[in-house]
Parts: sequence; C-alpha cells; structure tokens
Amino acid sequence: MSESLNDRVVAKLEDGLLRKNLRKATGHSIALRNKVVEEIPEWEELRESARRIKEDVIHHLPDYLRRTEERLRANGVKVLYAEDAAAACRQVLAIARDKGAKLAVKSKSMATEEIGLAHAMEAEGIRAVETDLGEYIVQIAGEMPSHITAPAIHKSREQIGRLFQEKLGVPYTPDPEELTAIARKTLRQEFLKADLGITGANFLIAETGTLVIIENEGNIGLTTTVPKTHIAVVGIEKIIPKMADLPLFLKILPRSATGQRFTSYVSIINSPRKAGESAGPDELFVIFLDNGRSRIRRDPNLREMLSCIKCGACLNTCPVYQNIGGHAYGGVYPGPIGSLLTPGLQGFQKSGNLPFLSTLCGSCSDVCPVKIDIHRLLLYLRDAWVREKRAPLIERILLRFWFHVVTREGVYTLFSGLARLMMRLFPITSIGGRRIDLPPRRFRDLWNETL
Amino acid sequence: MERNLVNDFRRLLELVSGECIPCRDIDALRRELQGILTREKCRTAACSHHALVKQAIAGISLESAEPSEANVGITGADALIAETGTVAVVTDVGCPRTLLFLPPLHIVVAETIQIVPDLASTLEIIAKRTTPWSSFTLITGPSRTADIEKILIRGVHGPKKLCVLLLESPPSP
Repeated sequence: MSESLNDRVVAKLEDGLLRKNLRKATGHSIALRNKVVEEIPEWEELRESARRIKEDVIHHLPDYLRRTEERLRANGVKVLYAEDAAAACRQVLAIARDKGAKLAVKSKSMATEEIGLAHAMEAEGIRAVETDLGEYIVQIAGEMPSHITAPAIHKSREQIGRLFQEKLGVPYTPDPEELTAIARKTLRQEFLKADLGITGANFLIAETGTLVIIENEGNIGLTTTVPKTHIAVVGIEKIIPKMADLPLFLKILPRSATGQRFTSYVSIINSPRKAGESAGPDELFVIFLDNGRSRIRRDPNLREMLSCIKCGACLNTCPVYQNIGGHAYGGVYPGPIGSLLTPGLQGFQKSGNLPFLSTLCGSCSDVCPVKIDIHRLLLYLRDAWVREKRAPLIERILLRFWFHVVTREGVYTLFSGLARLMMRLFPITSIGGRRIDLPPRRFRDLWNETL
Repeated sequence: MERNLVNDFRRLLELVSGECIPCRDIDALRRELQGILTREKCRTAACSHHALVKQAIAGISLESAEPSEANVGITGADALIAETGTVAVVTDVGCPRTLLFLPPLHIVVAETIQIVPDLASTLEIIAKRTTPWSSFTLITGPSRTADIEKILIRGVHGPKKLCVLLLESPPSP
C-alpha cells in the first residue's frame, strides 16, 4: 500500500456507508459478547488462567515446539518449519507440485493471510479458493479481509448482491439467505474437485500432537476431510500444553469472538486417515510459521502479544476501529492487536506509526480473553518509535520544549499567562471552523478556589 | 441429576436451532426417524456403523448412498455435552467424517446415558477409546454463518438441519 496511514484513515473517515456498516456490525458483536460473558461468573479467573498458560508456552517455546513435533511425527503427521513468509509459501508450493495439484480449497486462516499464500499459489497457476463465506466474498471482490473473524464486515448485503451478479453471473439479490445458497452451490463443486485442503489452526496440543480448528460454516470440516492432502500453516505460538487445557480455551474463544457459547463445529484432528477409513486426507502436513515471532519473543516487554488467540474482540470494542475499519491499518492484522502485531512481525520500517492509531482508552485490554495489556503495549511501542527518532524533527523539538515547561510549575504558569496575553492581543476567532473564545478566568484559578 | 443433564442438553441444543426428540424406546425412535425422513423427503441415506444406528434403521426403507449424494447422514455419537448442547462424534472406520458435513441433514441417534456435563468429561471418554481413530468433531447445531451484515443463516457448507433422536436409557440396575 503506497498511500500513508494518515491518507488511508482520512479516506475511510469520509466513507459514510463504511462507517454505517461498521457501527452496525461491531455494535451487534459487542452486545452478543457481553451477554454470554456475563453468564460466566468466573470469567476473570478464566482469563487469568488462559493468560498464565499462554505465558508459560511462550516462555518455554523451543521446548514446547520440540515436544509437539515429536508427537505430531508419532501420529503420522509431516512437520516443516518456515522461517518467514517466503519459506512457508515455497514449502506449500513444493507439496502442491509434488501432488500435481491444480486446485486448493482454503479455510479462513490469519497465518495463510499473513504469508500471502493465496496469491503465491495463483502466481504458480494453482487456484486457491477461499471457502469461508466472508473470505470468499472478499476474494472475488479482489480485496483484503477487514476483520479477523468477519472478513466482509465492511460490506452491505446490496454490495455483496451486486458483486455476485457481476462475478458469478447470477441474478441480483440482496437476500443473505439466497446469497449464501449461491455460495454453497458454487463452493461445493470446488470442495469435491480440490486436490489440497489448506487451513490454519486455533490450537495445537503439545501433549498429544492434536490440531484444533473451530468454525461455524462446515467449510473447515470439508477442507480437512475431502482433499487427499491437508496442509495446516500454524504460527509457532499456537501451542497449548495439554488436552485438558482445551475446555478453558474453547470457553473463552467463541464467546469473545462471535458471542457464541460454542461454535457449530470444532475439528480435533490427530492424524491423517487410518487404514480402512473411507474419508480423510492421506497425508497431513503441519508447517510451523515463525515469520518474526521469535524476534517478538526475544523482547520481554512485547512477548505477551504472542498470547493472542485471534478472537477479534479488541477490534469490535475499539472506537478507532469502529470508525475506520480494518483496511485503514494497511496490514493483515487490524485493530488494536494489529497495531501491535504488525510492527512486531514486520518491524517499524514497514508498519509506520500504527501504534498511534489508538485513543489509549483501554477497552481493548478490558475485553481481551487472555488479558494482553494491549493499550500499555501500544504506549510502549510509541515510546520506542520516538526513541528511534522516527518522529519528525520539529515535533521532537516542540515536545522536548513542552516537557521542560510542564515539569516546572513556575515556568508553566509564566507561559500560560503569556499565552493568554498573546490571545488577547492577537485574538484567534476560529480553528478549523470552530469558534474559539478566551474563557474569562483561568482554569487554575477556578481549581484553586473550589479546593 | 441425570434429568437435569437431559434438560440442559436439550435446551442448549434448541438454542442453536438443533432439534432434540426424546424417545421412550427403540420403537418410538424408529417412528420418529421415519417421521423426519418423510417430512424431509429423504430417499437416500449414508449411515455410520454405530450399533444404535443399525437398530434404528432396521425395517426402514432407505436407499444407501455416498455421503456426497445422500439426502441425509445418520450417525451415532460418542458423547453428548449438556453444558453446550454439543454432540461429539469420533471418526473411524465405521464413521467417515464426510457423513457429518456433506449431506444437507444430519440425524444423530444417541442414548440419554451418553450425556455428560461438560467437554472435560467428554475428553476423558474419548481418551479411553482403544480402537484407532484419526479425529473427532464437536457439533453444536447446524452449519451457520453471519458473514453478511451479521444476519444468521443456517446451512452454509454443512448440514442445514441437525436432529438428535435421544433414546431414554433403561434405568441402571
């Protein structure tokens, strides 16, 4: 994306329809989430336990990875490691070439989105069809997803109706039920023909080498069952220690993500098909994706962002996200957590001043099911950004000056008095169209009087 | 205690638009099954090898079909979870996973004795299995999406309807 973050934000703020779509969808999600979270009196204890478990995994990650890999191999799963996005794409493409694959069905996965897998496959002449309804809509529109769990949240039913009419050659309908039926029919054929099924994973259980993937539509059930080869691209931070930890995470994730007590389907996969089974893949690959995660892990101030279970609750509750949507962030991970993960994974050079896209109100930290202190980390990144001298020179000089003023009461009083005097002598009547009147008395005097 | 588990399971399943039909004995279950098959105009079925499925379909005229062609998939269950209204199905030689996802209607036949309080108890049951299996699936209602304006639609890629026929287990001696 070539335009600056500022330009993107301004453009999105001027899009009235986008803001209307976003407000409706995020408001709906938050209401559902609050309702099912309030049902659980021990919610705070669950968050604390989940946080501790993820912290332990991140702290001992190399050890957990080794143990998980051993279990996976014992289960007959093939394990690969990818240092970065390019390596992960190369590995998937090598498997695809080996199988002579022409068509892959994909389920929604942030990891595959992160490495740009669909584009890499298309470039090699392999069709990679997104099968989650929201992802499918975004894919045929030639766009990027704008939300972690609701990729097409920025589109209205009328926009989707016109898109289907144009791209699929079906009569226009704005009816969500009919639109869903059209997608079902089209994609069912793709499932039955596909050579590869590509997914991510929500959790990977170290103790048993088990993949856990949650969903509502049934496309993951089909993606992991119908094609002869299943490839799961999994961030190295997705490990949880034991099968017994799963109930906890399945209690907090759907409630935080979509306000559901449980999702329609949870696929818990131990191995490719066993002898005699008539369905399931012949081969199952797990590609462990690093792509900057180890670097984040090395910074003790930032590593807690790796606990993220990608629920998207911090997006829905964020007053900034609610007004600009996911595309403005310019990365794969939008919203408050995206403003941490994008600089974390890519470095500041590519991510610009994302940590400043926040009011620091802390709502993100309040809803986070694994208790990541998101707004505090954003503040930490802002500090790092300034320390790296990435702010404009004039801004740095002015802030330095301001720092010396506000930390000395006498100097501050002097300057605020001078400022009032200047405003009397040279009155400013408006700033950006808003009328400015000098208050008759200083705030400090009012404060001192009432105390 | 068990009464509560049955009620909870049924209530939670119905909250996610699943159907739950208690049946007093195997004959009642067969009648209910026949009723659903007639109502949904099912002629072809793909069935798992669960013992209870075999009992249930005995005497019912149904053409057997591949899961991709069948009007209905009929399976048993390995556990039913009261806390969330969830059906747990292990996939193995007798129960291919496609049965759960390809047909537009999924009918589960199970017994009340299979209802457990929560997922943790289900995991214990599954860990005790001795026959080889590759995966298991937790099913909570029919396939659904809310990807278009957050409006709930049932039957995206998986079944449009999920129906659990719940056979009352005889009281333990």
